[in-house]
Amino acid sequence: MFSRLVRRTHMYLALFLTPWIAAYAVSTIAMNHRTARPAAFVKEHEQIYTNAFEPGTPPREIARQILSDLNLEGAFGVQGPAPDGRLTINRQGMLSPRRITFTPADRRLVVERQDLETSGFLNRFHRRRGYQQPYAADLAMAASVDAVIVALVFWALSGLWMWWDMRATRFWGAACVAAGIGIFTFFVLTI
Amino acid sequence: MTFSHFVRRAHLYMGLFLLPWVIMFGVSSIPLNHVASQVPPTWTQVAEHRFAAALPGAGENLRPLGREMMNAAGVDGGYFVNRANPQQVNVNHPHFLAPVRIIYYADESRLTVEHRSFSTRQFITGLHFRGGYDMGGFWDSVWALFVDIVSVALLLWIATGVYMWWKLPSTRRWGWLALASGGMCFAVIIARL
Repeated sequence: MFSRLVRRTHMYLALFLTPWIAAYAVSTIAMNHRTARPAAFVKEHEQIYTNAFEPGTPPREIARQILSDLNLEGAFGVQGPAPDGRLTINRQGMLSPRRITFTPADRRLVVERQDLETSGFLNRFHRRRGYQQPYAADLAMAASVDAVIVALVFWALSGLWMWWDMRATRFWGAACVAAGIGIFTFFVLTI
Repeated sequence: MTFSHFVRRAHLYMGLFLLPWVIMFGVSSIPLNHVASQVPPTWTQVAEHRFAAALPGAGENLRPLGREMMNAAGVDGGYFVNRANPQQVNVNHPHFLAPVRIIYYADESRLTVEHRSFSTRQFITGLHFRGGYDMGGFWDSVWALFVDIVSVALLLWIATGVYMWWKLPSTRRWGWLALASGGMCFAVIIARL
């Protein structure tokens, strides 16, 4: 009964997390071969932004308000203000990252977008993690990363259990485990 | 041996062989997903040498100079090299257990060699981040090859796992549910990010 539970959990968990594992596998290959190239931003639109901010308003608060007014809420980073007061907001969209430049002197707002490009997307996906951003999608992504972590450890342990349950595979299985641990240890000590 | 038997054994033995990498990539993702304030690592100078080499021009390849610096410091293996300022070039040899930093002060014709204190967190995340074939060390490239092997293995586990699931008709309904709900959750999260 316990063995059956282990087998089913191993399988259904894997089926549920298939998209994450596939995306992590492909993005790891892309990163291991340094396929990412800096992507150019193309101007999406430009407008006059009329909202005013109290002097001393934190840049992050200004950025949050601007993104809200543009209907672009989501994870972001902000640079500045530059000596001329310019703020650069990086809206960390997964599919199409945007850069919004706000120049308070002439109240100009320029919105630029990176077009979707496979290696850039894979890089962004692989690096997206953490609970720092307060947005639901980011928190869900971070929770899914935790789920993948738990799953990887569970698959390893349940895999060992299932292997030990099959007497016929014990010899070659032990050889694989020993070889894997030996090579891994060699790397840790050597490089 | 039937095809089904081969698929099962490949799934199993591949998993057993790559077990350390699977656990490592899982465990090392914990500090990356749960960021905590950390004490910066301590670097201790262990040697200083007289060293003079021409600095490459701006935009020129720094790796030959990096290799000279590694040789002068008596360090083998892969390295990263960067120019900290017009007169300073840094080389980092990211050994998992004992990383080395070599700094060349061109205007003083001086080279310092520093060792970093061991930090569990940096050791674990170092295992996760290491990759790429451009570090110049033979074993670093073999490690990169293993990173590729683990990635391909993940795809093969998916393929063989789906095959084995399909061979169990009694699990198809719940399997479809798991597959479809996972796909939907993934698509919604990616689209909303």
